[in-house]
Amino acid sequence: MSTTFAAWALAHRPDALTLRSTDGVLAFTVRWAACGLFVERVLQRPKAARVVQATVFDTPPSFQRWCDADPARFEYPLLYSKLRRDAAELFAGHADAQAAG
Amino acid sequence: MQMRKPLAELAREPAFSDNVLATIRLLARATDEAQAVDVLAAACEHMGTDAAAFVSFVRDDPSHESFRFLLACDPVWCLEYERRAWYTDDPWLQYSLNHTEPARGEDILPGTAQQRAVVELAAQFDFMSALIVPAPSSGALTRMGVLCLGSSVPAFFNDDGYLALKVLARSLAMELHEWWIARIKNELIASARLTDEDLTLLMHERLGHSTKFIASKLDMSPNSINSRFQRMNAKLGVPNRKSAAQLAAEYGVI
Repeated sequence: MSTTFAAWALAHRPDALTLRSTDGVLAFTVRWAACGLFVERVLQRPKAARVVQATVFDTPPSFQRWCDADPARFEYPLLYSKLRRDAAELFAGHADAQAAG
Repeated sequence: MQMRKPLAELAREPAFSDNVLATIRLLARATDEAQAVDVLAAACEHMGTDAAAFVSFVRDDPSHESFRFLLACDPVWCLEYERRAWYTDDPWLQYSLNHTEPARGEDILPGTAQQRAVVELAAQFDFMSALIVPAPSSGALTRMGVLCLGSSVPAFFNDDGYLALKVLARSLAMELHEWWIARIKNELIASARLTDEDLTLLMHERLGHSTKFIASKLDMSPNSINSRFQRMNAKLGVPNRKSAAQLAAEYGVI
C-alpha cells in the first residue's frame, strides 16, 4: 500500500526555514534554538515508512559531518547545498549575536 | 585520562534521582522538538549515559507507518539506520512491541544476522551497552515509544545502580511518549484543519458505521458523505477512510 506525503507532517513554522525536494520525498526544517541549530529531517519514500529525525547541533563541524554522512545528498545536491548555506548563516548569525553581547 | 564513574556510584549520589526527575519535569514546558531534545540530552547527562534516542512509531498499519526520532546522540547513527531501513528488523524495537518491561540490550538476543548488524551499528555510536525502555499505548492504539539509553562503557547498566536508573528511565520514556502524542495531536488538528464535522465523520468510521448509516444519522446523502471522506483523506494524506479514522485515533483526535 502506498503512503502519500501528509502536509500536516511538516507544519509551517514562522520561525523556521523549511526546505523541500521538488519530488516531496525529503524535507528539512531548520531554525536556531536555545541549545543550538535545530534540524528536522523528514524522508518519505514511496511504499516505505515516513522517517522523521529531530536533533540539535551545537557546532558547525558537527552539522557538516552529519550532512557529509547523509546518502541523500547525492540524490538531492541542490537541496543540500541550500541546507548547508542556510545553516551556515544561522550559525554565523548566532555567533554575531554572541559577539555583540 | 579521567575515569568514568560506574552507574552504581552515580546512583548513590544524593542528587541523582532529584536531578533526573527535575529535568524530566521540564518536558511539560517544552513547546517544540528542539526543547524536547534538550530535555532528553540533559536527562541523559544526569543519568550518566552517553547517548539517548527516543523513537515514536506506529506499528501494524502500513498506511501511515512513521518513525519519529528525537536524537540526543550522534545523529549519523540514525542516517545509517534509516539508509538500511532497519527499523523493521531492529531487535530493540521488536522487543518493545511485545514487552512493557525495560531490558538491557545484552538481554535481547538478536535472532538474525541483520538484527546483529543493527546492534553492532549502535555500538559504534555510543550504544556499546544499552537500556531499552518501551513506552506502550493503551487499548487498541498502536502508536508506541521506545527510549534507548546508551553508554560507550560495556556493561554500564549491569551494576547495582540499574534498579534506580530503570525507574527513572521508565518515567522519562512515558513522559516523552505522552509529550509526543500531545504534540502530534495539536499539529494534526491545526495543519489538517479538521472541523467538528470531520471529527464526527471520523468517529462514525471508527465505530464501523456504513456510509448509508452515517448519511441517515447526519441527514445527508451517501454521495455527500463519501465526498467529505475523500477530501478529509487528502488533507490527512491517507489512502482511505479507515486509515483516516485510525490515524485520528492514534493521535488522540477522536
